[in-house]
Amino acid sequence: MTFSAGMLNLLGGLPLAREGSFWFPPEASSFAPGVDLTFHFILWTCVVFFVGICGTTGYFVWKYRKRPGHKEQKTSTHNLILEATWSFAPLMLLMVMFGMSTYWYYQMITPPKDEQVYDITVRGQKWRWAFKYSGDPFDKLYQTPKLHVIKGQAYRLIMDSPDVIHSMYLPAFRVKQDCVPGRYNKLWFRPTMAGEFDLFCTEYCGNDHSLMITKVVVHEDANSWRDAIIETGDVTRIEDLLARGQAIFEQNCTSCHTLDGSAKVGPSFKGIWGKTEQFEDGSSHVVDEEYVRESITTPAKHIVKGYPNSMTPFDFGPEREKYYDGIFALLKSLKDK
Amino acid sequence: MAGGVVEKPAGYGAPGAVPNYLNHVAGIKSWLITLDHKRIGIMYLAAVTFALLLGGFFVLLLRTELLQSGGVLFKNNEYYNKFFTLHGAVMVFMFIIPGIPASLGNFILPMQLGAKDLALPRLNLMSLYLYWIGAVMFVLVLVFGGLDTGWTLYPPYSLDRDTSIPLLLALSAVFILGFSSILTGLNFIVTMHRLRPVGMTMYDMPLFLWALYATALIQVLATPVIGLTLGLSAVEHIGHIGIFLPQYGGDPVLYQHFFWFYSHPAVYIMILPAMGVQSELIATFSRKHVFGYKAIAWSSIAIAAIGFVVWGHHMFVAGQSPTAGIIFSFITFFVAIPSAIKVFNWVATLYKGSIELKTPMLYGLAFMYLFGVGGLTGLFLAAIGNNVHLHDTYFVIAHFHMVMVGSTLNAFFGGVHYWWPKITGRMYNEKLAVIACILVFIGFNLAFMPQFVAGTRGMPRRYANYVDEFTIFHQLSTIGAYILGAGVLLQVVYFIASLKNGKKAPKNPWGAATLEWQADSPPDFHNFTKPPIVMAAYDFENWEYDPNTGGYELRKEVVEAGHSLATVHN
Amino acid sequence: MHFDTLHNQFQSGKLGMWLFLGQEVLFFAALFTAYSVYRGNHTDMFHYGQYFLDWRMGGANTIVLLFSSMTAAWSVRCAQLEQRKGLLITIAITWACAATFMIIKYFEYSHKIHIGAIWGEHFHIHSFDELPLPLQEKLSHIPVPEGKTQIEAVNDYLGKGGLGLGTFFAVYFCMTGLHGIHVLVGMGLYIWLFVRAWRGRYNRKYYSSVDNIALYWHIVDLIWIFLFPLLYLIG
Repeated sequence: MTFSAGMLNLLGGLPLAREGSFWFPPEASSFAPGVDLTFHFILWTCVVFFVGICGTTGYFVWKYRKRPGHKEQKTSTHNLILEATWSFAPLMLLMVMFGMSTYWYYQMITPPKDEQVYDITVRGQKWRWAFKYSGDPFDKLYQTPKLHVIKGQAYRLIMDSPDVIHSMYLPAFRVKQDCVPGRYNKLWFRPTMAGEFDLFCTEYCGNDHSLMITKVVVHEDANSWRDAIIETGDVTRIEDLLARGQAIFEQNCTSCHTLDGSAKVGPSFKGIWGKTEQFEDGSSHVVDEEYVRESITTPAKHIVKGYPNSMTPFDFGPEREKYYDGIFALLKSLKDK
Repeated sequence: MAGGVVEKPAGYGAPGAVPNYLNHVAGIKSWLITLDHKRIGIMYLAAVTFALLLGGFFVLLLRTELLQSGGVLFKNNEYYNKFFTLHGAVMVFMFIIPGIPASLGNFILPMQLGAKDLALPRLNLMSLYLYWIGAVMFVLVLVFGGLDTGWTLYPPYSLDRDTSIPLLLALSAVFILGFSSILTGLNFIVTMHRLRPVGMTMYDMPLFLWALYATALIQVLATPVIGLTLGLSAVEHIGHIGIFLPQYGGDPVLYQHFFWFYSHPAVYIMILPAMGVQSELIATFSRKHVFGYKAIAWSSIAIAAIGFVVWGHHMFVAGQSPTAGIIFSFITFFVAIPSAIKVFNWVATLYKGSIELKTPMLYGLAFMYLFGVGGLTGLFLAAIGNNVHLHDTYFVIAHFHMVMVGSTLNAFFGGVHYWWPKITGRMYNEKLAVIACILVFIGFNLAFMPQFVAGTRGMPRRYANYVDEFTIFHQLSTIGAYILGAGVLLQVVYFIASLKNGKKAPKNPWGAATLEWQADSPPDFHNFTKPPIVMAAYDFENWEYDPNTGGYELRKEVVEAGHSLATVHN
Repeated sequence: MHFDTLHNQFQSGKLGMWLFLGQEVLFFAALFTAYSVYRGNHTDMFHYGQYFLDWRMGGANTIVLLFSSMTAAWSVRCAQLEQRKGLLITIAITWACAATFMIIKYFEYSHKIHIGAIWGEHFHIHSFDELPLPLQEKLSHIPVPEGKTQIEAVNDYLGKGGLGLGTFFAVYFCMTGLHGIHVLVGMGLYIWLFVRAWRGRYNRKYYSSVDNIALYWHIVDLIWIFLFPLLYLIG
């Protein structure tokens, strides 16, 4: 860290030191300090080794340079103890690095369980981003081109793509996740610093890949967050989404599923969202976007305990994302309060 | 390119000239149907040099475009995207994978075994022709409008497109180049098993050969997987069969698994031969037996083996299971051990030597530094928590360029300088060579060091434009690329000039102890006019400096003892 | 001549062949991996896909290939013993078996293409009566939405948007097709071998091509031994 601070002073006049440290943009999420600490641990370990190797090489080259009167001497051509030492000692350091970084990775894949995590749907599409917010405090579905969040709040992002693979990268948060067509990937974070930070696409996606840039705006409080979303967002009425979901349900699902809690051929949809389902094969999963999508496209993969494997897979075609939005809205509205 | 020039070097046809592999028969046809590993090696050398210059030209365009965030060269991002794709594809498939093994390896491998040729010479010529066919197809990709998929060809973007011809050409080109690579590797393994002379065990082979052996194992075992993957991609693109494209029921992440199952081991196809060259350079120019021979030899094999089980570290953020990610991260750290063993052993080899700073050794020393940077920065990327931040940024770009360009290209240069007198029979201009080496070294550093910082600060790769705060890094990097380019051009100039004006090379200008130095420079058509004396690869005592020729000659007593031993291969 | 002995040359060729076969195995290994991934993700798809495959045809082909493997091994023995007639006969039988394999394959393929059971988005069964009988039984009572015919409903159920049998047939045709290409290459090699044997090129010291081609033929056989149960048998 001192090195960073030193370089920061040294390079004070250059634009690259405007914010953050020499190496990093500001630490704006709860993971950032840990990730940076690991980085600096690896960095300094490497510096020690690197200086050691280059220094020794340089010293030998000078000391044993070819010159009149100097002749090479025969030395031992191997030394088991020496070689074993320099093979296994670094291994210990490597394991420390692995442990530290895996600890922080574990934090990244484990959203907090004891608090409300706010869900935002992310759609990466050639070549723009869309972020969708619904539920409290909104009565409509809002879609914004920038990502709006509140400092201190935990967020879960549900990400997909209708065309090719994109990847959402928030350097200031030290997080990144691909948006892969045909599946929902997830990511969680907790912003810790108010301000505007870069948001990049990091998976090459065609012509204007490098213009698929936007900002994440971290608000100090909920009011300015809500106002910003209402001001800049495109609106879809939740009622419309619900109606869409209802229509899809009436058309396709009524022979096996109900909305009132009574079981038919398959489980009822009442209160199913967010519930952890036990499956025939002994595994279990929370009912969320990814599970619902999977249950529609490949129902046989995870059969809920006590129900037969009898559902036909569905694919809603090229407009499938709209169908899913409707279904998700419907299921969410049936959630147990 | 160099091949055309080497074909009839001035003076070789002169009456009384010693017959050698270059002048014993002349004419274009004699080159096209040759089964001589030396001529095939030279044609490979010319071809990969051409590929290097072509890929280098592309990257200079790219770096120029990046001088300003709005771009300075291209009107449309499409051009940038096409050039970075071609830069990557040409450099990876046409230069760096065949680079050292097919050119230097082809030439040197049989000679270091004291053999007359590779075990399967016809197969060798066939792999050269396959390489040419693949290369021509890549040029045709350009003619048909270029391709903007990235060299990784990730679906859906790569396969779900209207224009088929460039894509199918590129897929077939890589398939064919892969086949060429398999055949070369196969040939090398057979040769090392069957054509070792009596009295040379595997442990007596020069370390360059161990490195080529490990490389060949990867070539034979990993390349078929990418062949199949590209075949499936082509079928998917034409027939929409639903293997990789999600809209037909396929899985794009499966492609990534297949692709990296080859392409990660391929990274070691690129670096292992470079490590082999490095072992030769360090030993020869410090006149010391390599320290820890067996450790270096087996670490090559270990790297090859571990290289097969780490491919998943390219997909930490693609949505593969976190458990798989953590396991891949764990295994990846183990690649560091054999790599470190090699470096420590090279340093220890220098101890109490007599170190002569000839150009090849300068490259050897630069390798220690550049591979140090390239290898150690791999640790940041192996660490999964940090990889999430660094994945697909300029940090990754800088890391793999430090390994591939900084280390492999650097070792390729070192190797070419080292064996140039043997290959052509001429010495290059030492002063210019030192200047070029320094330029190249400065260029490497200036081009890639700033990219590390740009990466940690969040600069994504494959960007035709960037946000303003990254300008300074890009400008430094571009200047570095220009300097590197100047160094490479200077090399081309003095190498070509040496063919005409270079001093005649002695048999063994460096005092190296491997068998190829017992042949004439350039070697006879049959490599050795009299059978070489099989002796330890790093026993420099056997050679003594002869001021009359400016090179080293075998000591008399060694020659006498060697012939009486009769452990000679014919 | 850069080998010191004929034996060394023979061994070199053989080692080269083994390495080549090693890369063949890896080549197919990628396909087998794709197979397992899709099977793991779409159990239903494979279950239904299997109705379209006739294990009797696959079984017949297995027997034919096993027999040809035996005659291929026999041909090597004949070459070693310098039995010219035996060599020619065993080569001919091996070739004939390969041809039989391809003929059976042809019938399998043409039937599937005829009824529309093919790869990816092209999967479309033309008529209900052409479905395999057990599948007709199983699908006879699936609900037919208004305005759709029975066969449309069946295609919705089996094809894209449903079970996605197109992907099953993509896997099936890729695996068996690639294997078929290897069989064709083998047939070409055996013709070449036959001509050379006819001219009496082989003797007890020089028979490496007979040996290497037989090795190749065994690996082609071996791959089929894996393909057959994976595609035709496992339910």
